[in-house]
Amino acid sequence: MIFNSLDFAIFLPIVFVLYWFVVNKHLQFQNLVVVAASYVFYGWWDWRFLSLIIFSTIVDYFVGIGMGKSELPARRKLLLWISITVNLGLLGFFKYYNFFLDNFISAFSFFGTTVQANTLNIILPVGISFYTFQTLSYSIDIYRRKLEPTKDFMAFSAFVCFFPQLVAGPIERATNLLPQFGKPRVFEHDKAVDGLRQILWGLFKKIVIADTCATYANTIFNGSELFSGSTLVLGALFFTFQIYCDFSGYSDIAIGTSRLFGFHLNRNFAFPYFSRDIAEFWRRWHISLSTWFRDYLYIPLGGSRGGTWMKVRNTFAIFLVSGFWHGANWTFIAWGALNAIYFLPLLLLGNNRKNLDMVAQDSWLPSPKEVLQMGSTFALTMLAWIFFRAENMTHALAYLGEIFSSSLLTYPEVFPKKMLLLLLAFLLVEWAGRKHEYAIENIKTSFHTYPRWVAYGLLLATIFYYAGQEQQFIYFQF
Amino acid sequence: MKKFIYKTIFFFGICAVTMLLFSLLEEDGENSTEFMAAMVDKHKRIKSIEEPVLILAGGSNLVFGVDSEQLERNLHMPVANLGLRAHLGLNFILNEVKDVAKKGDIVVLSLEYFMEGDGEHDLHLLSSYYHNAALDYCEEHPKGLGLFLDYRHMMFKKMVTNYTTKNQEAYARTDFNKYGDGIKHLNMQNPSIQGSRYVIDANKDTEIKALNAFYDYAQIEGFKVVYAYSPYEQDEYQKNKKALLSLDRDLRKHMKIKLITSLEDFTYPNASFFDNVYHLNAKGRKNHTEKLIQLLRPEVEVPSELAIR
Repeated sequence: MIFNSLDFAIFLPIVFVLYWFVVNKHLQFQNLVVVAASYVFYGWWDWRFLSLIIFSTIVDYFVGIGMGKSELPARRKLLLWISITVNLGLLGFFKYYNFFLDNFISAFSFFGTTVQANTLNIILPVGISFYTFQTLSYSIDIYRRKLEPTKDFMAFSAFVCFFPQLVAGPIERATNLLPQFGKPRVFEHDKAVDGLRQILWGLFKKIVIADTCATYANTIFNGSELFSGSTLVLGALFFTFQIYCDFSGYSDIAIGTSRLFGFHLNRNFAFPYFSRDIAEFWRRWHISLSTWFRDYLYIPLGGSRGGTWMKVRNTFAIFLVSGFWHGANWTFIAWGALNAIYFLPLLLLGNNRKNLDMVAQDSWLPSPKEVLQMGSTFALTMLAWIFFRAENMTHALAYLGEIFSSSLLTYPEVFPKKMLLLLLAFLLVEWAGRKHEYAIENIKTSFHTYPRWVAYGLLLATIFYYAGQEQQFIYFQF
Repeated sequence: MKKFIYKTIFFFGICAVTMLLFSLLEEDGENSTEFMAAMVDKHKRIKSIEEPVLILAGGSNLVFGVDSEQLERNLHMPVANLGLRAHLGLNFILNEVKDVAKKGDIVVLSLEYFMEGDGEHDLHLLSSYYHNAALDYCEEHPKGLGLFLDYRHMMFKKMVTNYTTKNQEAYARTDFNKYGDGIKHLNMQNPSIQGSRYVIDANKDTEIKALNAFYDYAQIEGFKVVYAYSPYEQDEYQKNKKALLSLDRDLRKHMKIKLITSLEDFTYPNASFFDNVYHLNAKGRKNHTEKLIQLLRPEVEVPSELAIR
């Protein structure tokens, strides 16, 4: 089931009523409703893949219990490896099996040996990269004694499959989300209203901005050999906004929906396109994944301690793995590598933690220096997205080749002025709300009731105007 | 909790009613003057002719690029031009022809190269007010919220679009002649040509299957069907040549319907086009109609004493 569908518009009020009116007096029943609703939500795509979630839930639940009972380091380590093997095994098989096999065959053929092997017709289960990482963090945190294992199987199941964030995050840590399933929930009017507002903004980003940008980005990327460099730059620009609004829109809807049920999820995006350098960008983009890799990969590898070589190695490791997490394609690895190259100078010069606050914190407009910094960071990011969006490396390199040719200076064949104006208006709204958790959060304090309702109405009408065919969210494929 | 629920229901209720009311402001039905309403006149004409008709079916290339009166004079057969919008999609267009074609008719299909199979649902909904076959089509291919709500949604979008964008000249019901040809553009200056935004996907297996099914239907019903490529701008042709050659190969190999043109036949200099790469201007239309007459003559079997030499 996708958020921008009629199915979800019917599903959400039903679950809301069941949760707050039918089973509101019993915590266990509320958790049961969450689990059942989440399985329905997930099974809407393909009920067969529910078995993977259930399997992962059972394994990690017992691994957690086992680690909690044991004081023997060897036994605890063994249990941790069981969890890692099961979760990464599922991920590896469903997501990377064919990729490794293809590259294995190619490598042998390069040396003149022909290897016969059949690739499998594997369907990637939606959201597998997200829930496997979430359950892994649970096992690792117990192993590190940062978290006590839960004995409440229902609460644990709800933590693993919580429907708002099940298929595309935010990837929640057990330390934040799991305890919330153990506490009685009280309905809070203001939080629920805030949740609805964030859902509305998320839908706007997805349906109005991302899906409209997608039509242009798809046309330009799919026919890139037909277009001039200037059009290809526009294609990259549209994709840059598409991916941001698609993914952060999803996160907004997930966080808003959770709020309706009395849960707090962590922020996943913090206006990344207003970043002044790449390090800041990565503190603001897909925060839940970046911090996951930081805590469970970068720091165990030594982080930024040690010598220069260690720093370089660890930086590349985290970015390459992050790229590979997105998909079994060399383009994602190239995207990760490019970001590592952008990031390294900052790290080596000790400038990677220079811009920790929001740009223009105390003023309305940025300084010329900040504009330049934001512009250059945005351009670098946009360039990297070309690899992310391209079909393969040949496509990406040809795309870049055409951009850096004389045709860059010609008038673009595709130049949708209205769409560009819409993007500008969107950026202004984001800029105005940049000091808040999401762009229109401050509407509650800046507007009186009636103008506020009119603003919501206009937002809803715009969504309704652009709504048409339900488009999948990009991050479902990861 | 109650306050939240009442407020939410009130807000969404008010919004729904307001949008419904706005959607009702948009003119529809038989008397609409908008471009798609030309369907009403086109269907009226075709249903009023009892003898065999030469039916032109396809996208807007037929609106801008054909002089049906000249075709009629030269081929000695009444002509009805059903062409309107390529985005109606091949399936919808074929369904529309099935509704009107009868024994002895000759159907000339001329689809733009991007040849969408399904087409745009909003256009189908809009058409559903103009003829019964379109209504049936919408009922048989339900999408979204159901026919009533989808229709109101489409009308709301149309209302907003009409209020926020300038009406394009040459795109109104009144800009057609009695045959169903667009004529307003003939006396207009060429606006700037928009490059094709439609990258041609050469894989048209599904569409070819639909065309073959239509051919079988025509055989049973006793009408003839031929396929002619759409006029196309020279530069655009060069850009898409690889995909077009592949499409041409597939059509010749797999399509049962007779293809009466080559790719180059209807590829014209850029100066022959009006506002996009498929829409001919007056000069291009004249040239294209003459070529079409030549290619159709063997299909129509004009009695030798009537043939214009």
